[in-house]
This record gives sequence, structure tokens and C-alpha cells, in this order.
Amino acid sequence: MTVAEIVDHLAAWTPYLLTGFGWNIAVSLVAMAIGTVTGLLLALMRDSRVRGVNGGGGALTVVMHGAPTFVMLFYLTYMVPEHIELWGLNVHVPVWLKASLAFGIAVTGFVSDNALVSIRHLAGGRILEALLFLPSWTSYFLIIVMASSTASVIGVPELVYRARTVIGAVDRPDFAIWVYLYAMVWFLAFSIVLTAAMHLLRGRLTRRARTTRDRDEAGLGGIP
Amino acid sequence: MGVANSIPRVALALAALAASLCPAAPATADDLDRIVERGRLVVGVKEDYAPFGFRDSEGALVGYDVDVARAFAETAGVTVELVPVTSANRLQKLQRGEIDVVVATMGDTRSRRELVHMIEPHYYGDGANVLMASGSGVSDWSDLRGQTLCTLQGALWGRLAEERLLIDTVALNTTRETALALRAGHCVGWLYDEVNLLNELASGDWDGYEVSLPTRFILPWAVAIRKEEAGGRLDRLLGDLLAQWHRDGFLQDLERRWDLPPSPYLKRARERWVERDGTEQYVCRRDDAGRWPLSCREASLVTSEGLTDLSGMALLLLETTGLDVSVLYDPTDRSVFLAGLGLTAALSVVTVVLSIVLGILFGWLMHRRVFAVAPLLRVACAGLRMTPPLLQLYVVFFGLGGVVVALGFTLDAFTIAAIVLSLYAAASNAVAFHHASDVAAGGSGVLRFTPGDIRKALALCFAAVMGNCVNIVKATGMASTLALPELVYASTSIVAEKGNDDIMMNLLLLAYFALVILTVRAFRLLERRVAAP
Repeated sequence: MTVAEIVDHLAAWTPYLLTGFGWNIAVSLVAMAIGTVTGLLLALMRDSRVRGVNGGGGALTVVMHGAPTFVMLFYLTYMVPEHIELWGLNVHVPVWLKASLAFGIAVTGFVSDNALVSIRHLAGGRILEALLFLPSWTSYFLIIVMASSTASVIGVPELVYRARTVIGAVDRPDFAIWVYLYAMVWFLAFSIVLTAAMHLLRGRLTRRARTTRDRDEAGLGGIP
Repeated sequence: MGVANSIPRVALALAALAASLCPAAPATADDLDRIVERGRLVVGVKEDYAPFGFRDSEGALVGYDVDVARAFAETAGVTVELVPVTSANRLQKLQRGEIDVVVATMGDTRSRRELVHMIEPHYYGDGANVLMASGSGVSDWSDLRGQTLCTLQGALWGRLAEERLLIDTVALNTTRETALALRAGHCVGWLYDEVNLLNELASGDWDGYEVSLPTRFILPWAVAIRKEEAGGRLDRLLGDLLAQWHRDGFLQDLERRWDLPPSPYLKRARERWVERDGTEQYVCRRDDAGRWPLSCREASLVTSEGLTDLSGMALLLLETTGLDVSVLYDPTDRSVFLAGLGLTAALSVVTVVLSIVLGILFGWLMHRRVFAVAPLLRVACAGLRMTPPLLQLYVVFFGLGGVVVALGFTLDAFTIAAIVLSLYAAASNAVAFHHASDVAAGGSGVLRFTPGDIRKALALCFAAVMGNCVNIVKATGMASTLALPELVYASTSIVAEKGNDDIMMNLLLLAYFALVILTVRAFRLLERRVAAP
């Protein structure tokens, strides 16, 4: 394949692939929304003075940390039926929602830990320190966007899934690597833009907070 | 029918018959007595299922099943009476005693076993496969996840593919419509009985198409007798004959005679039944109680009766509650699962160790700001952290894999997964170690590459490194996308055959929880070492 051919093919398929990337972001945002709500609940439980509630919140957080998202994708796909009866209504559970739920479990664990720190800062009146939750949350969102590529294995039509479809449609053996590299570029560009924005935000917050204490982002590397 | 030339078979059967008619026979008359007395074996066969049971141009019943029925009668020295049956009435006719034996394309299932007795070994077997365009890049059923296949309405396979393989299906009314839908691109392939697909392919209308996946959902076909005859002389006679016919290739001869494509089931069955042990006896031979060894039977159909070990308990659980812990009673499932567990554990250990070693090395090089290397590493680490590891796997597997092959090496899926995943984790470890080294060295100092200095920095970033490593252990399942038969791949393929998704998914999750706990434990032990002066 010549360079011109590769560029032509990639250009022609770009709208299709970008729609897929939209799915990555959508699935990740829904996962963040679900995980933030449940994670906040767990953090509030852990902040409670009641021993049982406190311990329950801690134990649930440990479980959320232990569950591998890649395995949870399969777990939820097989275990959650496609249609659920809810209050007499037949609710359809689409496969992308199962993916969001799987990633949401990891988000829950993350938010539970980080929100707890912020809750304690808030209680101490350190509002800006508490706000450092936001850049951490954004870092985690990026991690979930990276992880969302694995939703392709259960058939969510996101970027990697579509890349495979394109490879099948073009049907040239040496084309595969270019499609995958092109898909990588989109992830990379998205990460760079969001990371830059986040650094800006973090810089402002820490300067204003006049504290060198940054949030510990231990273990934030890699797909959870 | 060439039964006349199979003298050894006749001799064997007569010997078996003579043995069963010896004076020690039970006093009460059984079906075999009645058959011998009337001089006629009454067999139910299909009349509308070519080439197994159908009517020839003269209206006579012929086919693979009919030949099996005739061979039964001939070797037993009685005449045969063929009675046409349908899928709907074959079991009832047998239960009512209108026929002695059913040989009518009947798949052996647990629910049918409640009604009649299935003779083992089975006399034929067929499964599902997919007809699709050649070069579609699909080499495994898991590649079809989320894609659409065309099926025939009412066929069993559609539901199985959706539930167990997560493949979408569109069901069409007739074979013709299904073929048209495939050609029109409404689906990527046609999911159907493998025998029928191979017949289609042989018709010559499907240039550029192939049937190349491993057979799935294999359903063995059984000869059935009345339930009361289980373990009796008729059961034993027919079972011995079928075992013999697997060994001497009679069933495969029949297959050729009826122009059936070579069935993988018969081929495998033959290998199993001709195998001999150290004493030159057949591995598959009856024990003192007249039972075949467990390993010679279809594990998915074995019942708990007479089994007292762990597999018996697992089967009893299945029969009473429907919970199918197939890894406990099916030797194939067990070895697939254990091999998967072993691969995942091995991949985890290799990946964790490599990611720490490389992470320390890269992190130190960045800390020392080694000319040209440090900035390069910094960019590489950022790139690795900012792209999905799944894509990294694909790029190396599908892209660089080809380059490496051209150079004369081959990289297997395990090596590729180990390299990609450990580099991915090493990138995060390197960044953490780099920062920790800067902190440990203080303002303008530098750390040397000595055990003492490395330990100092490692103690500072221990939590981060542990977090990264736990995450990479959790992510090892991604290697399943390269068809590496690790734990996720093993579990989903067991689900595909057994449909026991509830058990297998929980088992899979438990195994991963155990792996994560073990990893954390190992790191806690290591932490004490690192923190020690």
C-alpha cells in the first residue's frame, strides 16, 4: 500500500471512526457519573461515626478496588439479562450500559478514596484543597477513556471495534497496523489536550491554596 | 449394504449374543428375548431427513441411520422392520413399545435421557459452524462477538450463539432466504449445522466462501432404547456393536457411502475408541459393572448415577439444582480452566517482575537526565500511558508481528502480551520511581544505581508501584483478545459449550480476586524488605 492510499482510506473512514470515539467518551462519562454518585455514597459511609456503616463503606471500597474491569465486562454481559422487569416495565439494558457499569465499579473505588479526602478538607474549611478533587477526577476520567477501548470485546461500537470493522472492509493485510496507529493518535490527542487543561487547573488551585501538599495519586497508573 | 463382507463384526456380535443368552441370564424376559423370539428387530427411523433416513426413488427407506439399523438386525441374526418416525413421536413410540430401537437423527440431551435410555457410544455427532467469505479475518468464534450472523428460524444455534458467544443473530424463514441474506451482506456469516454447511460448500455455489471455524455446540446423536432396558443385555449388545463400529471404521465407511462430509465427531470418536493402554487393551472398555470409563463418555451427558467422587457430587448438584460446575466433572473443562489459571498466573508474575525492573531502570535513567535517553524515555512513557494498552497489543500483534516474522523470529501471543503489558506498567512505574528518586536525592543530589539507593527511592514510591502492578495483574485478561487461552478465554469457551455462565463468571471473578489478594500479599512482604534498613 502506498502512503497516498493509506491516507485516502483513513480520511474516508474518519467520520465513522470518530463516531466510535464519541462512544468511548460517552461510555466513560456515564461510567464516571455512575461511579461518582456511588463513590460519594461510600465516602460518606466511611466518614460516618457509626462503626457498622463506616466499616461497610470501607469493605465495599476494597471490593470495588479488587474487581478487574476487563473481567467485569464479561461478568455483567453474561449475568445481566438484556431485558429487566422493573416496576412492571420491560427495561432494555444495552451493551454499552453494561460497559459503563463495569468501568463505573473502578470509578466508585477511586471516588470513594478521593472524595473522603475532600470531605475531610471541607470539614476543616479548606475549600481549595477540597477542590483538588477535580483534577484528580479528570485524570481518572482519562484512565477510563483508555479502558473504554476494551468495551470492544463485548461489542460496543467504539473506536477500536470500528477500527476492526474498517480493517475487515478494506481487507488489505498491511492496512491493519495503520488503522490501529491512527486510532491511537486520537486517544493520544485527547489525552494531551485534557492533561494540559488539567495541569492548568491543578496549578491554579495549588497556588491559591498555598500549600505544597498535593494529592497522592498513587496507583493511578494503568487500566484498573 | 455391505454387511455381508464384515464377517468379524458378525462373529463378534454373535459371540456377544451367545454370551448374553447363556444360562446365567435373568429369569424375566427382556426386550432382547422378545426380539429374538419374534425374529425381528423393529427400528424407528426418519423418512424425511436425507441422507440419514429418507425414501429412495422406489419408496424404500434408506440412509445412514437405516444402514445402522440394518446392521444391528443382521449381526443379531434377525430381520429388520423399519417404522417411519418423526422428531415429535419417536420417543412416545419407543415408550409404548411400538418400536424396539430408535435410530432417527436424535441428539442426546439430558432432558431426553429422562424419557429413554441412550446407548453409548453415540453413532454420529454434528455441531454448528459458520459459512462466511474467505479472508474475513475471523479465525475464532470470539472474533464474531457483537457481529451479526444469519440463522434459520427455529434452529437451536441462534439462541446458543446469542446467549453463550454474545453474537447477534438474525433469523430467516428458509434456507434460501438465509443464503440470500448472507450474499446481500445482512450478516457476516451463516450459522447452521456443520454437515449442511459443508454440503452447501460442496455444491459449488459458494466460491470465495469457507467453513473454517472449529466446530461448536457438538451434539452427539444416540441410538435409544426403552428406559427399563438400561444396563440390560440389549443395551450392552448395542453399545458393544457401536464401540466396535467406531474401532473398525464401519461408521466412517457409512459416512462416505452417503456422501457425508467427514465429520470431526466421528474422527475424534474413532481416535478415542481405538486407543490402547500399556497392556494392549482398549482404553475404552467396560468395567466389571459393565460401564464405560468416564473419559470415554460425553462429559456433558454423564449422569451422577453410580459416581461417588467429586464429579458425582458435581453432577448431582447439576441434576438437582441446575448449577453446572462442569470444571468438577468434565475433565476437558477442568484442564482448560486450570491451564487458563496457570497462564494467567504466569503472565501476571512475568509482567509484574518485568514492569518493576524496567520501571526502576527507566526511572533512574530519567532521574540522572542521561543525555538523549532521558527525554526519549519521558516521551515514550507519556505515549504508553496515554494510549489504550489494548491498541498497543493489537499494534504489536498485527503490525510488528509481521515485521518480526519477516526477520525470521516468531513471537507467540504470550510473549507479546508479556512485553506489551509490562512496558505499559513499566511506564507508570518509571514515572513514579523518577519522582521518588528526585525526592530521595534531595535538592541537587543524585542517586546511584546501587541497591541501597534504589531501595531508598523504591520505599518512597512503593504504594504507587504496587497500585500499578495490581492494575496490570487485573488487566492480564486483555491477552484473551490475542486468542491466548488464559483465564478469561478459558472461561468464555467453557460457557460457550456448557452454557453455565452463572457458575463460570463467578468462578472467573473469584479467581481474579484471589490473584489480586495474592499480589497484594506479595507486595506487603516485599515492602518489609524494602523498608528494612
